[in-house]
Amino acid sequence: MKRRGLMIALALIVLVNIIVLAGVNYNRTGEPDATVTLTERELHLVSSKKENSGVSLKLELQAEPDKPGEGSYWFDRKKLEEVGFDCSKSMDASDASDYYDRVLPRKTYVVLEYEGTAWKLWQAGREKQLRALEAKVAEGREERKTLDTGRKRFKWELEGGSRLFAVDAGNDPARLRQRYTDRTRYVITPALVRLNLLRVDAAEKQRKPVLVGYVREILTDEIHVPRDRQGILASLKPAEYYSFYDDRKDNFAPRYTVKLTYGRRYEPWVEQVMKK
Amino acid sequence: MDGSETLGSGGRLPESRNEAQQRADRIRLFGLELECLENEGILSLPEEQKDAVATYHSDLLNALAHRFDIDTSSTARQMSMGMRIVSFLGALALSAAVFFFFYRFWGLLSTTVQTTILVASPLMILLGVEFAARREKTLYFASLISLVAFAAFVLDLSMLGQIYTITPSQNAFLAWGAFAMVVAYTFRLRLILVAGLLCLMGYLAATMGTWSGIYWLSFGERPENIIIAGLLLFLAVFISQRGYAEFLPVYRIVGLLAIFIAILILSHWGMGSYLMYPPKQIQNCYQIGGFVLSGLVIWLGIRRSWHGVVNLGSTFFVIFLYTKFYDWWWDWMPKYVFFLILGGIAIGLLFVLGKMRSLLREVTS
Repeated sequence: MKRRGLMIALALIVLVNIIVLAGVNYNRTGEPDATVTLTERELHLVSSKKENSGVSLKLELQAEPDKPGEGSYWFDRKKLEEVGFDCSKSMDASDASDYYDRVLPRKTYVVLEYEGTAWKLWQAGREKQLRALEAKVAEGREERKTLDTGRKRFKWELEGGSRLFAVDAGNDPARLRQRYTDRTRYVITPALVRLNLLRVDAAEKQRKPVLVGYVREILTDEIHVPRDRQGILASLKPAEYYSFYDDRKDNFAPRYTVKLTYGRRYEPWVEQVMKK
Repeated sequence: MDGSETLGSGGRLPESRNEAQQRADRIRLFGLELECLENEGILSLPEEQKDAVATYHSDLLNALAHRFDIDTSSTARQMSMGMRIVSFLGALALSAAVFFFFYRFWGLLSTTVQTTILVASPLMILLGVEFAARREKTLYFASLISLVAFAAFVLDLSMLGQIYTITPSQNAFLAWGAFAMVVAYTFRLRLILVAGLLCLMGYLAATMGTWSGIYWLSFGERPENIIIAGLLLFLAVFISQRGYAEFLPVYRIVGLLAIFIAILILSHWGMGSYLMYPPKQIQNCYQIGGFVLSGLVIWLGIRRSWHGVVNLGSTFFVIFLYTKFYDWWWDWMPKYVFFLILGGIAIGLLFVLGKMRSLLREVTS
């Protein structure tokens, strides 16, 4: 009994590892689904060195505006239903908030666009916001300091913010790829998406409550960099300017670019790290 | 293991260490009681019968000690309990050491070396379990090493996931659970059985969650998944497990504990339920359900002489009761009155339990 049990346990370890590594091999052989070259703006360095000697990169998405009609808003009720959310409850119902607050995230595939239309729309939206803020300051309805902070933040976003945007979602990655054929600009990746019921606030009484979706998490957003492909990363530390600080003087200058490949299972790996 | 092994005098040896320990305890108590009866003049066995019993018991204890390394005195038993605790704590510490050791140095290794180490570690440590089990009958070291082997297998799959950026899946819990169960049944180890049952329960709860469309890691946000997984585990007790009687209480306690904890959560967090009713109504239902289930569990435990189950049911009955009192009275009642009432209720419960104990004694006599 003991000998047989021991053999089963040993075989189980070997078998499970074979299955896992066969999956990795399947992902990395054949025609890759996408190959994109991103910079430090989109791939932040994660490295603690002291207790964890591994080096990895964290994929950063640009935050989306969540109001219909602004920026590259696309994740509407129809899209939510397409990915499987039940949106049949009327948003005017008295228990609509209870209902939609209880809906849990779903796994689906999202399309990430690098430095494309969404980035341009986002910049235009930010500029519009800044112009509106300038007008308010001129009319004395807003403080000068708020405008200064807004300008600094916009400058920091233009120099250091991620240009990677979620632009579409769907449960069938092959169909998404048919729609987004540029494999050097569009990445398809598994992600968690969630819905949100935007309620009417006091300033917008004429607007009805609306359902919007958002990407809560990219499921493979932390990418390990193997020792033989670390290049310049081995000597770098995570930059302080990954976050915006009002009193920061220095400018952001990305220090590296990374060639990232997504395989047949939509799982990424680092192909090459280059000095910028 | 051959369960039909016999003594020279024809008596049958127990199959497991647990059964052997129970038999040794009975022999020790029998000797004490016999001595007492003789001192009080109630029973006096002829010398040859006394000698025959003493010789039989002595042979049996020697055989049990030789085969299972059991405790033949109460002092040795206490020492064993201490060793079990030390073995568990040691396993936790060594598992943490394995994790941190790998994290500290993995960045210095190539991907091939990382993968080789990760795959080979649980295999090598598992062979260490076999080695320890051969050399030591009490299995303290085997139990400790088995948990380290389990930790190495957990590290193996989770690190492969990181190294190759694999999309997370609940299937890893199935692999870990199956491994822990095989090791537990092979070497008769209860600690790793607990680890295995927890993994399988996690896998079942996560998989049931995905059937309703939610992401597998969100299974904790719908505690009803855990109730069903716990129930399946509890029902597994009724599947024949001949020769593994010492495992049955583990199934019962782990399964019921999961059910009780999930009900306790839902009795205060109706938003976490699948049921699309107002949260307050759901909470009330689960509060009532908690009391009913505690009562049923106590009844079942008494009926089947499952002491652990009775204790668990009683503990959760009191927890449900006290959390309800907290909800009702904590905010508006002076604190001294609140605690006075709790104390009074504890005394009342003692009376009720005392009455139940008397009834039980009458039934059993």
